[in-house]
Amino acid sequence: MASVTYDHVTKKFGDVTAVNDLSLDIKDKEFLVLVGPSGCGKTTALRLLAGLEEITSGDIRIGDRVVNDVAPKDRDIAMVFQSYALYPHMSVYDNMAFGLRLRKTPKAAIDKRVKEAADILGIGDLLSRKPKQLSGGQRQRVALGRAIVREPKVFLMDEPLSNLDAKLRVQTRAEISKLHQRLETTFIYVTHDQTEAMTMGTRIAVMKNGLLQQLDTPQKLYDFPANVFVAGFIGSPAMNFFDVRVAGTREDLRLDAGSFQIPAPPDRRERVAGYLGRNVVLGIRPEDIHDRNYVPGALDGAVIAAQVDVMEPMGSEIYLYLLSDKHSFIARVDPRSQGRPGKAIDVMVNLDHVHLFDKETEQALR
Amino acid sequence: MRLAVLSPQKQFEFGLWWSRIQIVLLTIMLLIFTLLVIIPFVWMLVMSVRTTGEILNDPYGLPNVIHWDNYWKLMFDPKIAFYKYFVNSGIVTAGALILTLLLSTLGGYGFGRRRYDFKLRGALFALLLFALMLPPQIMYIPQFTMIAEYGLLNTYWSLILLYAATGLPISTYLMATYFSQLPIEMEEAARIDGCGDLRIFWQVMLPLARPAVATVVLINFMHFWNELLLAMTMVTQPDMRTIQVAMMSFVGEHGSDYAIAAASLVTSMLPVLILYLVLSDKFIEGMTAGAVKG
Repeated sequence: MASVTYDHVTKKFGDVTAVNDLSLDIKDKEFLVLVGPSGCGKTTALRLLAGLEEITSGDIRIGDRVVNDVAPKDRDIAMVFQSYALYPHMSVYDNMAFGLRLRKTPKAAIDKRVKEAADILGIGDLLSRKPKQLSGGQRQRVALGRAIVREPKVFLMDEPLSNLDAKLRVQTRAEISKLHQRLETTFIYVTHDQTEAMTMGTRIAVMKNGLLQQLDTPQKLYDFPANVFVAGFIGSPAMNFFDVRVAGTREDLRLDAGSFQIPAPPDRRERVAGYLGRNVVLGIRPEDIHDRNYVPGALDGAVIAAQVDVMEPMGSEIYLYLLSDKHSFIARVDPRSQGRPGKAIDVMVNLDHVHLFDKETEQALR
Repeated sequence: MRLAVLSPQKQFEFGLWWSRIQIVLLTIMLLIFTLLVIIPFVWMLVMSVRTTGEILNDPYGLPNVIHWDNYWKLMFDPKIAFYKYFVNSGIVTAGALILTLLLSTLGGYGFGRRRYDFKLRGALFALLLFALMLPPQIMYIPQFTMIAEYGLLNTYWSLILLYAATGLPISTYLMATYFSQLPIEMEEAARIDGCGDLRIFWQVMLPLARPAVATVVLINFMHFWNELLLAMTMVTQPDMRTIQVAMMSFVGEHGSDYAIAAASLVTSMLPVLILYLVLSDKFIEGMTAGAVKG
C-alpha cells in the first residue's frame, strides 16, 4: 500500500510530447482512473509509473521513494495489460506463479497465494489449463490473478476490459471495483471509456494531448467540468454546446443563441455580466433538457422551440435529436414524450444546471 | 456466324461440368508429381534389399529374396563399417546445429526486437542478408585457407565451424523476423514479473518462437547432414569422413556395390525423415508465420 506522486513529469518521444508536465497526487488505497481519448498520454503516464518508459523530466514517487531509476521489478507494482500478455506456453498456475518464483518465494507460499487468488477470481478449476484454452473473460481473470498474487503496493491496469464483450465488461467492471475494496490497495486504471471511469474511480484524471485537464471525483467532474473538453468528454450522450452572445442589461442578462434566448443562470450573473456583448459557450447536458409536458417537479427553466429530427427510444427514456435553426442538440426526455421526427416540440432547459465557458480559453465560468 | 447463347440452366450445368473436369485434371497432375517424387525413393528401397548381381541383371525388378542383411553388412562389415561415418556425421551435424541455434536465436532476438536499438543494427542486418545472396562456392578457397591456417583440417571442428557459418545468415534472418512479430507486452509483463533480458529471452520469448526454432533446426539439419563439397575438401582422412563422402566410395572405387550403396542411401535419409515427421507441424507453422493472424 502506498501513495503515488507524479511531480511535473514530462515524457517526450522525439518531438512529440506524450505527457506534458503532469502533476498528480494519488492517495493510498485510492482508485484513480486516467481517462481521455486515444493519444492523450494516459497509457504513457501509466507506463512511466511501471518503469516501461523512461521519464524525460520530473519525478515519480511510490510512497516516499523516487522510482525514476528503479527497475520495473523493484517498484513493487503489478500491471494488467490490455492484451492480458499471458505467457501462452505456461499453464494458468505457472502464469500466476512465475513472478513469485523469480522472487524466490518459498514453494508453499506460492501455492497458497496462487490458490487464494484463484478462489477470489473463481478460476480455481482452470489452473492446469493453457491460456489458449480459456475464454476472453477467463484470460482477463488470470491476468488479474497474476497481479494479485504479487501483493503489490500499486495495481496498474491498462484498459483491461476493452477486449471483452459489452455484457462481460459491465460484470467485470463491478468485480474489479469489488476487488479494490477487498484488497485495499492503490489502483491506477487507464481507460478511454468515460462510463468505466465514472463507475469505478474514486477520482478521475481527465487528460488530453498530454495535459491533465481536471482531477476530481466522478460527481464533481460531471457537475463542474473545468473546461469545454471535460464537459464534452464526461457524460453520455455528450453535452450540447451552443455559441451564444451575452445580451440584455446587467439587471436582465440573457444568453442569445439566435433562434432562442434564455436568461443567464442566476448564480453566475456576476461572472456573466463581464461578458456583456461578447460570445460565450453555453453547455447543456441532454438530461437537463426536458419535454415541456413532462418536466420533473418544480424547475427554474427556459423554453426552447425546436423541431424533432431523429427519435431514439431507449425504453426508460427517449433521445430526441433536435433542431433549432442552425443549432442541433440532443435531449434525454421522458418516455411518455410525444416528440416524433418532423414534429415541433417545446423543450425546457434546467437553468440551474447549464454550463458556461469562455470562448477563447474554453475554461468554465464560475 | 451466330454465337450460341446458352440458357442459364445450361450455363450452370456447363459450369458444374467444367469445375469437375478441373478437379480431375488437378488430381491427375498431383498424382504425376507425387509419383515423380516417390518412384526413385521406392526404387532405392527395393534395390537396398536385393543383391548387386540381381540389380545388374534387371535394374527395375523386384527382389527374389529380401536381403535385409545388406543393412547389417553396411553397418558392421569391417571393410565398410558405415556406422563410423554415421557417428562422424552425427557429431558434425549436432555440433554445427547447436552452434547455429545458439547464435541465431540470440542474434535474431537482438535484430528482431526494437528494444535493442544498437549502433549499426541496420547495417549489420543488411550485411547478414548480403551473406544470404553469396553463392557458397566463391567462399571455398578462403574457407579452406583459414581452416588450414588454424590447423583444423581433418578435424570435426572444421566442418562444425563452416557449417554453422553457412547456416547462420538464413537462420538469424528467420529468427529475427519471427521475434519481431511477437507482442511487446509479453516482454513487458516479464520485466514487471522480474525477468532480466536474458531470462526474458530464455523463459518467455524463445518458447514462443518454437515454430521458428523448429524451422531453423530442420533446414539446417538437412543442409548439414547432406553437405558434400566442404566435407570432401576439409576432411581427407578416411576415418573422419561423413556419410555423404563415404557413400561416394561405394560407387567406382572397387567396382560398384549398388545394393550396399542403396542401403546406405536409405540409412542416410532416415534421420532427416524422422526429424521432419517430428517437427513438421511446427515447421509448417514457422514457414507460414505472419501469413494469417493467429
